[in-house]
Amino acid sequence: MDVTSIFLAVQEVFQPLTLLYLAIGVFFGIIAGAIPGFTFTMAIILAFPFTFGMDPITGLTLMIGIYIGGLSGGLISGTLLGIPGTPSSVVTIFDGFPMAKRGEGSRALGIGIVSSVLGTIIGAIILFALGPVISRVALNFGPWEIFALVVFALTLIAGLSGANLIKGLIAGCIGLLIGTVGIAPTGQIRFDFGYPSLSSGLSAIPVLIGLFAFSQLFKNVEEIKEAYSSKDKAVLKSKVKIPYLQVIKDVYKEKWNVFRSSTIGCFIGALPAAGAESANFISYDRAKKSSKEKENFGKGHPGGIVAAESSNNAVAGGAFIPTITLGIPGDVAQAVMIGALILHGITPGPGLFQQQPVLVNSIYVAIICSAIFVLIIQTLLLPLLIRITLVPKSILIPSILVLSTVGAFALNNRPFDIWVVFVFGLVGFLLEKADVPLGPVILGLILGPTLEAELIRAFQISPEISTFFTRPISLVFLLLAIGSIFFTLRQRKKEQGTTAEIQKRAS
Amino acid sequence: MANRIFSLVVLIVAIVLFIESRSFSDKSVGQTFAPSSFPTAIIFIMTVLAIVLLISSFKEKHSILLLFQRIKGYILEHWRVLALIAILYVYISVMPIIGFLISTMLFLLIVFSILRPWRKAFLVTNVVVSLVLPFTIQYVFQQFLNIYLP
Repeated sequence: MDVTSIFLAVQEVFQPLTLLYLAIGVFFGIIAGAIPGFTFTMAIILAFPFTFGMDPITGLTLMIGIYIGGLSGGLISGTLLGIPGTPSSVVTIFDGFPMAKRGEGSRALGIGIVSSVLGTIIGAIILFALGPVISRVALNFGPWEIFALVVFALTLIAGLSGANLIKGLIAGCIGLLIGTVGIAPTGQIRFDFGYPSLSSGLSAIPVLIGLFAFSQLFKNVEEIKEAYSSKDKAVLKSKVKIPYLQVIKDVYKEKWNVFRSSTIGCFIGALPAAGAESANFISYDRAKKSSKEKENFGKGHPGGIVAAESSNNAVAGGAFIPTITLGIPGDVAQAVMIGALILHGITPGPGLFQQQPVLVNSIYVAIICSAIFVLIIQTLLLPLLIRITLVPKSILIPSILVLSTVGAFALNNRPFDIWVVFVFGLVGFLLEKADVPLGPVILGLILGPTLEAELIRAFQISPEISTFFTRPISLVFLLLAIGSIFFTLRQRKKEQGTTAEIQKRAS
Repeated sequence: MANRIFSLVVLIVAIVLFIESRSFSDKSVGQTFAPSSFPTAIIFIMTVLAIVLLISSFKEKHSILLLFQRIKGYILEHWRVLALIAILYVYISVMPIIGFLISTMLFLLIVFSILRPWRKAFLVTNVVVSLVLPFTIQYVFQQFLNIYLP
């Protein structure tokens, strides 16, 4: 362990300006997470152009602040109103909202905040422990291993496909094809359709802003009339003071739950495509099964909130594992962070730990500092944060549309990127209307270029296809890919069987 | 029916991309794959999947009339979504001509008036945000980020 780089990283993150950016990031992340329909990913996208003028560590710190704040912010509206601020706080509602209904809203919020903080810190510790080990192993990865790993990651598309597997797979293909526009790994131009702007390819970030942010904003317009009722407004305007002594007792009682859920969250976060949304469902299920008070889960049991919030925040630590050790982002937020690093001439991947040890260590430090800021900001500014959720969507949507448009333009200073955002926003919106999941498109787009580049590199080094199966790590990943497909298919068959049985019983 | 239309659109896209991929340059000496190899493989997989989806869509009972009814219902209920998309299209088109500042002010003012009910109190907020936000964005981008907007 390189202690000097850790000290240097602490020094970097503890620069007053960097700490200020981190606090600002956490604050805006919490707000983005707290407002239903908006996510921290959108906030990270909006912050992206602001990182251009910062040094890489400060820029990354700002984004990490938003990321951690956003993962936690969803619990506010989820607990008080029963409306999840982010998809990752859906499970928090199961027990948070019943507690709020019986007048224990402050206690539920406190449990959520403390669990978020602990989850984030445990996630960061796991990242700190495993990151260097994986990176050392990854240094020995050749194109065969990386190709096999990406194939394994792509098989997770099946799990993201929702009700219709075929549509999910088609969506994955669409993502892979978007990634082929522009210059091929071998240097030739593809799919430019005679337009010079297309010949250099579609930058991933404008495409992601379109697919992810614009399509979601269009969808939000549909729900604009669903304003908060006067009863909800009264709840949000009421005074909230967290009973921390009681909260600490509650969380201490659930200490094993915190460890288990954080570990689950961190490992799920490390899988590309699987994020906080799945982590909190799995952790909740495990917590319920291991609890002595199973029957109280769903009726306002602190254990439910602990499981949901510690796991969805621990995802952050896990999500950084493939990003910094392999250069493979697991979600849109990580892809944008990689984009920010690339703009500064830093390429994440196995060599990052050797070339940029201070930057890597500053990620751990920034995550832990963000957790502390989450605690401070959510405790001190809770009444303000609660009221911010009342800002009308009709003001927010157009403003965010403008900011995203400007962000896309700022990337390369070319109006073409604004059109890319618009077109892909429309594509994303139409795909959602046709019940085609967007997760696989995004995963295909993020992983496609790596998949092709590594395949070509592998065949340039050795024209034998058998090399993929004779190298042990490559073989393991390919076997995992096959296993993942079978597991998903079996799971689907089981689910279909259960649904059919329920329908049969109902009829 | 939605699945049938989706699979047909995917098939058309696959055909267009396949035709375009034929115009790619050939592989150079020493290269194992041509630039078209990877996209062609994906197009092939996507086509097979789209055909499977198309065939399975014939098992669905929904008629085209029901789909049109749903679309009509959507337009009537959520016309503001379509209006927003249309205004956004115009905004992006005119931005390079009339500049970021004026186009954004107009865009925000028009969209706020569509999305928010017509009330005096709202009108003030609409005008204030429409004026302040574009100026703030332009100031921050030019002064702090050295990015000059159109």
